[in-house]
Amino acid sequence: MKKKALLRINVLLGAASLALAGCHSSKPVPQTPKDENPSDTTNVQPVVKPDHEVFVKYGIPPTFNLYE
Amino acid sequence: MRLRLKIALWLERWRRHNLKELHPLRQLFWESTLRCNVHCLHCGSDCIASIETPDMPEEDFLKVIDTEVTPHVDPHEVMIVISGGEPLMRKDLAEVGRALKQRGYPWGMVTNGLALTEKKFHELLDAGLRSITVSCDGLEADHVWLRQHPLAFEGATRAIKLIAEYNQSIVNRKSSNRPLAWDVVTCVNQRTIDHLPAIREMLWDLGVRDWRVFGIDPMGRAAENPELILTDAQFKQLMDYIVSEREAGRHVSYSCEGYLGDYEGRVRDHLYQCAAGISVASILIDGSISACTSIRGKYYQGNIYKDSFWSVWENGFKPYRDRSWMRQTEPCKDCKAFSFCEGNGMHLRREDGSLMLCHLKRLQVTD
Ligand code: SF4
Ligand code: SF4
Repeated sequence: MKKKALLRINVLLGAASLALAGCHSSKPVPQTPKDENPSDTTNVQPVVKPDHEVFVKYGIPPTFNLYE
Repeated sequence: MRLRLKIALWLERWRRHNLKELHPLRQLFWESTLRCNVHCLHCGSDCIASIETPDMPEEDFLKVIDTEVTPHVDPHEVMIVISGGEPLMRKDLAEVGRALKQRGYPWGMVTNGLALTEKKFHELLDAGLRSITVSCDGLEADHVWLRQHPLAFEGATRAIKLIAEYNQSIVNRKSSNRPLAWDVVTCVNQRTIDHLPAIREMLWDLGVRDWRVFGIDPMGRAAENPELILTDAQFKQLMDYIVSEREAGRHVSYSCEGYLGDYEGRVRDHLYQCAAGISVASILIDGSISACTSIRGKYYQGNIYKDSFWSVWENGFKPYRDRSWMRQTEPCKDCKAFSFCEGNGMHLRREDGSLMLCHLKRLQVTD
């Protein structure tokens, strides 16, 4: 419960801080859509990550919303 | 500082505080090999030791994934970054990738491009490669100098073209395939700082649209080579350059390290935070559990060969999630920006806890 609340608050805080600072809008990290996983038969609609992420120095680019 | 930015930084601090409590694992680096096909002047690793260090067996890594990570996360939300050395030195890279894909994990890698043939690229795409970063450190002569390999530039540019063409073909065919997330990173040094516009033009001609530019930190082999490290004035020049490119609508960014004062919000898509140990973990070549791979050994939190990775992730990483200890160190002691910076990135802390470099001070010196 607390976890969910914190996640929600963080979505708002992230959006507000980025907007106030005038940052480019955040882009979700690459994910594997659930339908690509053969062991997952639920075919759940992918969700866009609720949080903005930081890409570490030699990490991976925040380039695309791969869920379109 | 602008009032809006100040409020944004306070909100970000609050968000970071919550994130520490949640510490959702989002990026897991796997230092799969220390072998490399080039011999970069700025490398953080020691190539002699690297030749002697065996690669971690695929089974050892996948065992941790299966028993320690998968039961606790949604695999679709955890990016596995296969790092090195040069990941393409591993003959079984596609096999490991395929195993990760089957388990639902997106995976990506950072490469110098030298061994990325068209055949290899498509093999990796089939194996579920979702994201790739290519290192290109300048125009041909400077790249070859830094990478210490005559074919380094040819390799990097060939890889860039391959990826750009692949993504373009998806757009052209309106294919249902997803484009790769990708970008190019450039380690800027004293030789290349004045060539940034020319490098940018070259990269854009090759099809790059996302470019990250870094300075080189005084660690590894770079510490002995002052030509590699930007002066304070050049560092400010780099910041101004990034601002000008972004104002022109081009997606050029600075790396994640360093609180940048008034440049916050102007050179990256996000405000400064060091995600190490908060949403980033790593499994190093010898099984050590850490965060970003360049973090010093003192901050390793355990070892997969004797500890439970998940219990380390849940209960360890104290110096990462509570950075008040950095406040005891110079020059952070009296720093008014500590609330926003919290002592800079973990990878900039030496074994004795002291700080290698403060980005804000570099910018203030040149003001
Ligand atoms: S002195 Fe320390 S806390 Fe202050 S900006 Fe520099 S690194 Fe950050
Ligand atoms: S340790 Fe360094 S590279 Fe890793 S997230 Fe922090 S600042 Fe970025």
